[in-house]
Formats: sequence, structure tokens, C-alpha cells
Amino acid sequence: MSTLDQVFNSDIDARPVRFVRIVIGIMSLLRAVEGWRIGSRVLDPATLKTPIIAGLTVPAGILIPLVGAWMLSAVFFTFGLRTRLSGAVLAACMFTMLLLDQQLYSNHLYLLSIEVLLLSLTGIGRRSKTVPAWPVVLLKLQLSIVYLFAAITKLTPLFLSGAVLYLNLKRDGLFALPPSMRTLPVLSVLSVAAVLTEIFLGFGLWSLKYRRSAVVVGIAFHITLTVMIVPVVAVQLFIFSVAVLALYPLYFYPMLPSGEVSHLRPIAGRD
Amino acid sequence: MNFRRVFFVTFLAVQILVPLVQAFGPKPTRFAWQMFSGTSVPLRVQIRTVTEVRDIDVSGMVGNWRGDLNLEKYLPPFLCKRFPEASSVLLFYIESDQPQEFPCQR
Repeated sequence: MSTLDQVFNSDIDARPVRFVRIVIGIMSLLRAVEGWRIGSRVLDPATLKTPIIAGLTVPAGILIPLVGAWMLSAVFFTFGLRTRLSGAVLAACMFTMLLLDQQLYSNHLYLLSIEVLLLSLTGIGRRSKTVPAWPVVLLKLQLSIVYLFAAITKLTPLFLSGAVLYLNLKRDGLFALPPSMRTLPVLSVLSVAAVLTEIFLGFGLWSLKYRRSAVVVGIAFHITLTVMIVPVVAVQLFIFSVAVLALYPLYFYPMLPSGEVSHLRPIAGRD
Repeated sequence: MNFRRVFFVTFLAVQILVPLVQAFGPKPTRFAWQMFSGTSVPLRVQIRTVTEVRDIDVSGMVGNWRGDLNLEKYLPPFLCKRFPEASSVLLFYIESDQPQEFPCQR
């Protein structure tokens, strides 16, 4: 049986997927509030419009029904009610927000949308013991795609020079680097370290040998970045970090042949 | 055809190909996981009038400032409309001390 056949003929323990659904549902709900805040400013007739689809500008009146549907579906999704439908509506609302204007795009919203879409395809309900493995495999692959492309696209002289970190790290307050360390040589080293970390995480989570280390490194990496970044993007990075870290438990639950129901326990790395 | 298999393959193809193609273009851009990979927005904005060149604080005019905004296309016409006295808009980017100048179409 090919690997792909195995994926489509397997299930996975519902417990980590339920955990992901709840966390992502809560993040989506919080993001709806942020979506309202940002959307109100972007869709204000007095501000600059930067349409993603040329010529397509939308009236501010779209915001209330969009965010309303978003929040309602996020609540249903979080509580595992009609997950396929609530997840589909929630994903549609978030994807719509992404497409309304360039200013409304964000990587964490894009990731949340994808995660909600894939979770809705599992059909995970409140009483599910197992779910189909294939959407879960896609979630894990998606995470690796995110890490690896995040690393690859940082392989630029600008980023590796430390300039981007210089502009985006806090200058004062708690967790700010001391001035003696806010130099381009130091930040250049940190930039390279960030790239190597993302590459490691992209592969390490799949590895039986390195999985636990990858989890520790990943948690430390995301927490560090979130507390050290400038406040204006800290909320976005927090949501992104939670959306990423929520997927980590999925790597610890093996696929099982469909229909096999057992008292399931996480097995270290056997996938 | 099996929906699951078609979705699985299509989803992966899109999620890999879109960022892969975007990786070879100007950065940063959307739908490509290019977080903190750079910025394509101007660091400084000025307008030129008959009598002077002056800085413009656009932070209040842009609803949500992002490094991947295509401001070169949309900001000059917006500012030309907002400031009727402007004859052109100057955008300063991180790569150069010399601005890019966009004449106002009147």
C-alpha cells in the first residue's frame, strides 16, 4: 500500500485534533475583534485603498455582517458544533477578509484560515474518538511549508545583515536587547540563527529522533520572538505563534488503520 | 474522482507552488510566508509643490501599514488628490537616498 493510500485509509486519535480545534477557534474569535479594529480603519472612506484585486474596493458596510458571521461561526467551531459547516463559514469569512484589501492581509490570518479549513474537513465533533488522518497530515505538511518558506525567503542580504531585526525588535522595556547587543553584527548572527531554527523546525518535527527537541526549540523560538518584537506587531505574532504551536501535539499521535478503535495513547514519534 | 485525493494533491500543489514562485519575485509579498523578509514600502514620503518640498506623515492615512503594500501604485494618486497643491510625490526607499518621483496627473 502506498504512503498516500495509507494516509487515506487511516484515522488519527481525535484528542489532539480537538485541542487544535479549540485553540484555533479561540484564536479565530480573538482575530475577529482585531479584524473589526483593522477593518474599520482600512475600509474608512478617508483612508488609502490598496485593493488586492484591481479595481475591487468594498464599502465599509460589509464589515458588520462579515465580522458578525465570523464571530458566530468561531464560537460554534470552538465548541465543536456542526464543525464542517461552522468551519467552512469561518474559513470563508477569514479568506474574504484576506482578499478585501492588501492592508487586511496577514500571514497569521492566512494560516488560521487554512487551519480552520483543514480542521473542518476532519469533521471533528464533540464526541469524535477518531478523525480521518488525511486533513491532519495536510496540517502537518502545511506547518513545514510555513517554516521552510519563512526560512528560504529570509535568505536575503537585507535580512541576514540584521537590518530587519534592528527595525523590528523592541528598543526599550522588558525583553528588549541591551543597546550593546543591538548592533548589526550581533543581529546578523541572530538573523542567521532564526533562519536555521526555522529550517530545523520544518524537518525536525517529523523526525522521531529530533521531535522532542524541535518542540522545545519551537516553543522557545516563538516565545522569544513574540516578547522581543515591537509592540505594534506583537499581537499578530502572538496569534501566529499560538496557531503554529497548537499543531505540535499532532506529531505525537500515529495514524491508525481506519476503523481501528482502541484506547489511544500518544506514542513518541511513531508515524 | 475521489474528492479527498484531488483536494489533497491540489492543496499541496497550491501551497508549495505559490510561495515557490513568489520566492523569486520582489519581496515581501502575500500568500508566500514571507514574514520579516524585508519591506517594500517607502521609509519617507514627501510632496513637491511650486514653492517647497515637504514631508508628509502618511501614518494616519494608511489604515494598516504593512511591509508588503503596493504603495508605489496607490499612494501617489491618493496624495495628489489629498493635496491639490502637490505637483509630484516623492517616495524614499531603504535601498537608496534618491527618491522615486511620481508626477501628479492633473
